[in-house]
Amino acid sequence: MRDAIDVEFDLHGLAGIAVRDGSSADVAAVRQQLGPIERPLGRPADIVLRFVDHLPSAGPLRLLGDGEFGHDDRSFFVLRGRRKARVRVQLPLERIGETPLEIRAERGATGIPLLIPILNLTALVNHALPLHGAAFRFAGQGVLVTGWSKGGKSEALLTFVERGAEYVADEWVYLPGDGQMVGIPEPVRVWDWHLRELPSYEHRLTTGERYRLRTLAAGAAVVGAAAPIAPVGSRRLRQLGSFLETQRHVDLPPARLFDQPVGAMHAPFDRLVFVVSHTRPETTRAEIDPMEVADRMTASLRYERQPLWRAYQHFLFCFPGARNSFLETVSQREHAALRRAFAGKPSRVVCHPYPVGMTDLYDAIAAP
Amino acid sequence: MTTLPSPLTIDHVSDLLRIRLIDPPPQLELAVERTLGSRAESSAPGRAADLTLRFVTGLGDEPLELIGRDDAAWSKDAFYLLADGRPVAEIPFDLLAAGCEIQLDRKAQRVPLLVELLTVAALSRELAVIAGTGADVGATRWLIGGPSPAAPAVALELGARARRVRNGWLLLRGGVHTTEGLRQPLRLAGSRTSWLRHRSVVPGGAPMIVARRVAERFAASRGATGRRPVAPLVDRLRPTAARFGTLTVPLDRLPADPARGTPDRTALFVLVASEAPKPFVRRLSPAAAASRLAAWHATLRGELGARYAEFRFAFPARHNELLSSLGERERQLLARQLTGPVLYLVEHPQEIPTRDLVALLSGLVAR
Repeated sequence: MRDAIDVEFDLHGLAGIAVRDGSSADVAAVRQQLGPIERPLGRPADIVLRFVDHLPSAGPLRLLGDGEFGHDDRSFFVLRGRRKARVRVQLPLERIGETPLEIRAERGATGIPLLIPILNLTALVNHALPLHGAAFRFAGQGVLVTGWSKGGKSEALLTFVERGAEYVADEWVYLPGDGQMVGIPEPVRVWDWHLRELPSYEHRLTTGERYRLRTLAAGAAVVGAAAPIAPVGSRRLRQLGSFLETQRHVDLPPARLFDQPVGAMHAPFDRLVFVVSHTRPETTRAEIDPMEVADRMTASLRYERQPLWRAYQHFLFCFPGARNSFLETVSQREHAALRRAFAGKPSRVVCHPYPVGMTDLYDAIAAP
Repeated sequence: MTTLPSPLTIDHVSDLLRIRLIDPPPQLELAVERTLGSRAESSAPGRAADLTLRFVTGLGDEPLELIGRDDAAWSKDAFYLLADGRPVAEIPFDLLAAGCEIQLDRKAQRVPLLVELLTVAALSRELAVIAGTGADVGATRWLIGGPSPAAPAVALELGARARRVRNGWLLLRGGVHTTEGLRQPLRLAGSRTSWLRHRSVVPGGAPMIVARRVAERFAASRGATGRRPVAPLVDRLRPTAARFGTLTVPLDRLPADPARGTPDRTALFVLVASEAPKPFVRRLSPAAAASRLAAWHATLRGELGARYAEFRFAFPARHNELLSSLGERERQLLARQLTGPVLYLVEHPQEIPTRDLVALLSGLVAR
């Protein structure tokens, strides 16, 4: 008989997800998406992921574009998952923002498409603001580092934890509105240049991971040297070189990377640091109005939501009479929440070159 | 005294919308032509441009703050899109409207967001747009939009008896009967041997159709997937094969003939592929057609939305009301413009032969 596993995930009480009737592979895929926050909810779930052998459609399925989305007479379906793998997930986009929200998926999906943005919006409904950032507790203070992707947030976390800070969050930080910030123990992406700057982390890698990074570095060097002088295929070689550059990382669970048990993953939100990379060679610091950071990060959150927004536009094509006013106005809600959360926080902007010098970054953030 | 030559100015013109290129290097002139299609003669040569692309050297030659590693950057008052780590376009998103000018680096390989900027200029001039294909056949102007990949194949089929074909984005004004549009080549995905009938207009003729058919079949095959070590390699080749399987036909190869009469009515078909074994057709109201098309266009303009979010991150106080309300504005414009034509939603089987689909649409036109 096929597995029919029920498990539950709890995002610090801010959003609860229940997986119902999943196979072991389905549960593993959801675990990989959500990270190790699996625990009994003890309350009704906000999001129910229900797996079925066959997800029937009401009438023939109409297909959009290259078959990424589809719809029947009543429902909207996502038909492509990670790396364009075929999935069949019934996504009630008109109901995002309501709880409980049930998403139905055929077994064998390689994960639930758009689950993280939906989870983040559910947290927002429950009065917790999700924010792209890293957070740690250092010298008795909770520090939230935020900014655009590649702005230096994870680098700040790595360099501060190496100097004794307690890990709270990376990638997504949640601000529940009670002056605290909480995280989920998602894997931290460590690039090989991080290890050159912070060699103390290197022994946390397995031999296989170290070998992988060295092989990729050697491959990128060879391809980089060959591309300009190759008689043919130099464009392809450059593309290959760019691809290899994007692979020079490993994703490590925080407990292994930081060699410390992952604790409560919450800390008071005491200080705000806004990081930006720039083309100048020096690392600079300055005070910044936290409301300015709130205004900028509103745009960042909107950008992060693009894949969900794209799915919503496809949904509107299928069901032109339907709307989701929560989804259409969520940016204003986030903006207000950001301004409330940041109001009065001591705030600093740190601008740095990329790749950033870890010691310079530490000095710029830690300086009084 | 020697007079310096004025910068080369090239207008890409339609009767309704004009893009002006000032001092373009050859590779970018070609890139624009590849995106928009070949230039056309102007019937109003003195008219101001709706979008001006000025090509300069040393764009963004100043200290910049970065967004992502290689996405965008900003200075004190300018916003740049990057490619290979250097600025290639300066786009003042807060000023985007008809008549705006963007600067491009002469070393750029392409003009980013060109079609998206063009549609913004059109909408700001109260010109409704439809992503798709238009063909004047006999007394009927056919407009074909929607997410089905079959529209270019229908245009190829119609091309043999059309007075004029436009492809890419169509511009509507005055009850649809003054339709113009881009001249993008027809890109026919899912190559079919039935296109051998059109071998005279396909670059490379019959051998190219057959080669692309083979590539397309390979891309669509399931074959050895799952068996290592061959299967992963085969899987990686599929996207390349799928791209090669797409056939490109420039519009100027279609035997369009201006003597074939002028349309006096318009039919709009919103095509959607379906898993149903038979086609399903229903009439649409102008409001329903406008809502569907505006939503579909928003999916095609996704990159514009992402770039505008980057701009707002850089300059939170600089706002463009037109961009913020683009979808609603487009829906209203379309609803007004689509009161004239007959409007159909056509759900067709994915594998329907193009001739059968054209016959179905022709039957609707003849009603």
